[in-house]
Amino acid sequence: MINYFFRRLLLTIPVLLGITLLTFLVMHLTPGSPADTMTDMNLKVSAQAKSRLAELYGLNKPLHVQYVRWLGRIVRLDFGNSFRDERPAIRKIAERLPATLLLNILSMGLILFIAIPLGVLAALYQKKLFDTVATIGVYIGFSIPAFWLALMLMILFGLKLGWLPLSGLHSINYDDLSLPGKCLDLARHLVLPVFISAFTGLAGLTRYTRSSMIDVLKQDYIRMAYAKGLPRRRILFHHALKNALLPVITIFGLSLPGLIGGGFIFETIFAYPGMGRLGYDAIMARDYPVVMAVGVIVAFLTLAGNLIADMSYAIADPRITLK
Amino acid sequence: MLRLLKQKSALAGLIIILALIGGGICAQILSPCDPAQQHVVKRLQSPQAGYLMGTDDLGRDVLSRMLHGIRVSLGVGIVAVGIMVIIGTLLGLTAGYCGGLIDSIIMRFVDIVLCFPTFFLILIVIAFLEPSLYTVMGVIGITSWPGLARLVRAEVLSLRERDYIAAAKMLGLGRARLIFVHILPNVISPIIVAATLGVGDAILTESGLSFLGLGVQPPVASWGQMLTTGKEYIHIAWWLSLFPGCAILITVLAFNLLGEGLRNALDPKQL
Repeated sequence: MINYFFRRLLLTIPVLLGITLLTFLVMHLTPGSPADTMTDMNLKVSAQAKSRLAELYGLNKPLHVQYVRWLGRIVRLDFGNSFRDERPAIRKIAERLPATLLLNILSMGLILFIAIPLGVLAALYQKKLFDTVATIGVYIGFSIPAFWLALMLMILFGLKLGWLPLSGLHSINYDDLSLPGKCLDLARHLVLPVFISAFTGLAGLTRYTRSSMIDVLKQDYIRMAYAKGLPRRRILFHHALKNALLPVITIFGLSLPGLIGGGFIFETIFAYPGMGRLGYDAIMARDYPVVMAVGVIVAFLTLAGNLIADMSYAIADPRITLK
Repeated sequence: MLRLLKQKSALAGLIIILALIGGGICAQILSPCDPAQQHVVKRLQSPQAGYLMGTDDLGRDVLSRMLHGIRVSLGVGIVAVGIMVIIGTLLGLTAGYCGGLIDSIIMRFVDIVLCFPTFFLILIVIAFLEPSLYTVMGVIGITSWPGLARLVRAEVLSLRERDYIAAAKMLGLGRARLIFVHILPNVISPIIVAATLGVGDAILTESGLSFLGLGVQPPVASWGQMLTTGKEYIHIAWWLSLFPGCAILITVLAFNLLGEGLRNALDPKQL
């Protein structure tokens, strides 16, 4: 087991380096240099000033030198300052990360809470009405454009019915509210984003639970349990479900980047103060340090999530470490 | 084929897709108006006889624009998936067959790309290039292959050890013949499934990009871009948001149902 963990950790080192290299290359090989972006709007800028700027950011050095210098800085979590307001990129991310994590953890919890029972029931009633309805239901969620659903629900619940606030994470008078009032305000703002994120992310896990459960129910040890005369409920929940849920751990790890990345458009629509919107605004403003910081940190979080998923899988199913 | 048609949901998906293809090809004939023709006097008309889906903020017929939008959505979906299949299959075959260092390099690269949210990569590239129909197709294609490469590699790994491959090797067949004639046909079914599901994904991504103004540029009609207009007039003109949104939903759903049906039909274990 320790051996497996160690090998798994070693494998992440090239991936970590690769993430930084890919981010760096994508940002530096795309047309337009940051020095141009900063000075394009100002006609008075001379060529000398531009080259001074390029020197300041090390843009006149060869690419590999720039990369190594940048890598040296990001190891110390120094991603440079935003071009827009001169604040450190890492500080801007630290402000936004909690909101994104809050949204994703809530919607992941909701997905688990709905998808597993739904998948299990669909497997038990395979090819019955329930299975068909559940299948089509999760596929609608998977196929619906999240930003359109967001728009429609905002109109319905926000404007027409007036039940929920339209955007953001807090009301204007948030600071004056009492503690329960604050929680209620936060919850009201989170209902729509969490629901949409969960509904559109339901399909993968539900389908996976279903097919995994179907596979397990065909196994000999299930037939054995029936033959022994165990009650059906005990077989299903004690013998079948435990085994069926093993691969779900991996699927969960794999769905991480989708959850964080899927937020780009609808965080923008909801004016939700998260990483997706920060990344989108930074890309549109060509704010290189912030874009690179968002890219690297989101990819690192995903990598960490996958690592945790793999290791929990190994703990839950020790056979995996023998390979 | 028969197994596919027996599944009602897959059949429904197939019929919708065929209808869309027909509608896209005949868009010119079926459209009651020119999709770019503006009638400023008749702007924001609700659905009525003559304008079955109403008119938009410039007085253009929504139905005609919807029909022409089929071409964009299906075109982007199919071209992007074509690119994805070519890159994903080639890299997956190479990694799976060659093994060793080449396999490690390709698979680590796949791991790296999979760590980034795809939409983030697409946004970066598009934002720094000139947004157009072709950029969108290309960028979606070159960012969506890693999952497929992983899938193909896993299939090849299990095929490589089969007796018939050993026999073909002993007959002295060349590497290219071995890979393309004897291995590729046996990994084709997961590729077909992934491609069908991929079309739905690509259409969804295109609509998102167009919605943000980074996709297909006006005056070409695209569903995502129609939703951008719809968003601005959502209080007074519901039809501008409802129809394109439903069109995207139905199209993507059709491809997903067909993909799922193909998966069941091609993998007898599932039935």
